Amino acid sequence: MFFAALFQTLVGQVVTVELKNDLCIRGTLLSVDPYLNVRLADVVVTEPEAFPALLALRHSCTVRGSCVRYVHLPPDQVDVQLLQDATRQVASAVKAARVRPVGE
Amino acid sequence: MQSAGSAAEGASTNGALTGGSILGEPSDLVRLCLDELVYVKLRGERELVGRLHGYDQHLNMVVGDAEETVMSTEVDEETFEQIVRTRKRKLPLVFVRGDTLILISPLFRQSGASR
Amino acid sequence: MSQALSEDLDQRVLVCLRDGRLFLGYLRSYDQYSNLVLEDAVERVVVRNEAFADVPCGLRVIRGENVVLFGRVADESGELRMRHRLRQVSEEEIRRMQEAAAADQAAVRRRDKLEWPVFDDGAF
Repeated sequence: MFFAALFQTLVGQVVTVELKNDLCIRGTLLSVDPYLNVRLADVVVTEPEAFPALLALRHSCTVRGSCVRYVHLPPDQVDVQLLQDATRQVASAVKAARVRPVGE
Repeated sequence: MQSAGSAAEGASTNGALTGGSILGEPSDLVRLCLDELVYVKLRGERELVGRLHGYDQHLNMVVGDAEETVMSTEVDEETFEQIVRTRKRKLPLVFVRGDTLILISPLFRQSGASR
Repeated sequence: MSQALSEDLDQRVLVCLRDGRLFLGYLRSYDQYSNLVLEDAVERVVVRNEAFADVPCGLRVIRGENVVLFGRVADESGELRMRHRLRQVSEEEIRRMQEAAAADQAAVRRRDKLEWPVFDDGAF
């Protein structure tokens, strides 16, 4: 959920998604859902020699979140200080919810 | 000293079993790694060293200024010896999916202990 | 995903599975797990980045967990770019090429005495 919100702020930016089968896809981030499935526009497969059949892809492409290894993000588009603060907040909230279950 | 009974009671009222040292839970250690250099071992013979900027409860992470090392085994054409090859590359800012993670370790502690 | 998927409905899509297989078909239905229904589907068998064949398989339901990615192939240019690298052959021809490629791989494996990596849950 937390990272889905981060990706949400990067919609419209060019990212590179690296999959667990070593396929790399560069494209403009169109949308992301809570499972971190991502949808890219204007996709370019960075190694067409390895996956020539994927050259047939155009327009957009949806990548299942569970198959992602990395997403390379544009460093100038991410405020890392903000990200760290948000991480601390979310970690505290998650822990508080676990230590004191609702209704206690 | 705490008896087994009260420990169990404490666990049930807390709603979670927590490892009792001063470090607390594993996630507390990850939290201490925020904005620090970390060593991350991933599936597929991959390692990352970089600055931890964010993580969530699945241990999805964002790591900045990272160096990735990929190890692969190859067989020499002539001698049939197995050669371990390492490839390194720089990743300025990368999101790492948590399900590939094997371990994460704070680098500042390691270097502090060894010196 | 569901909002994004609706744009691909009734379009010709290319689906890439976890085992590397490729399917093309008209996306007729999907659900929250990204299970997909493809109509007039073909399996696109690719061998050694040389050749491909489209093997018709009619109506297919693909279980979401096996899907790696999918996307539209609506226009001709993408198809042309692919055909620039791969030549289309018949189903019989591609099966022969598959067997030859598998035999080559087995020979390399015997020579190297290397086990194949386990892909069941190791890779995904």
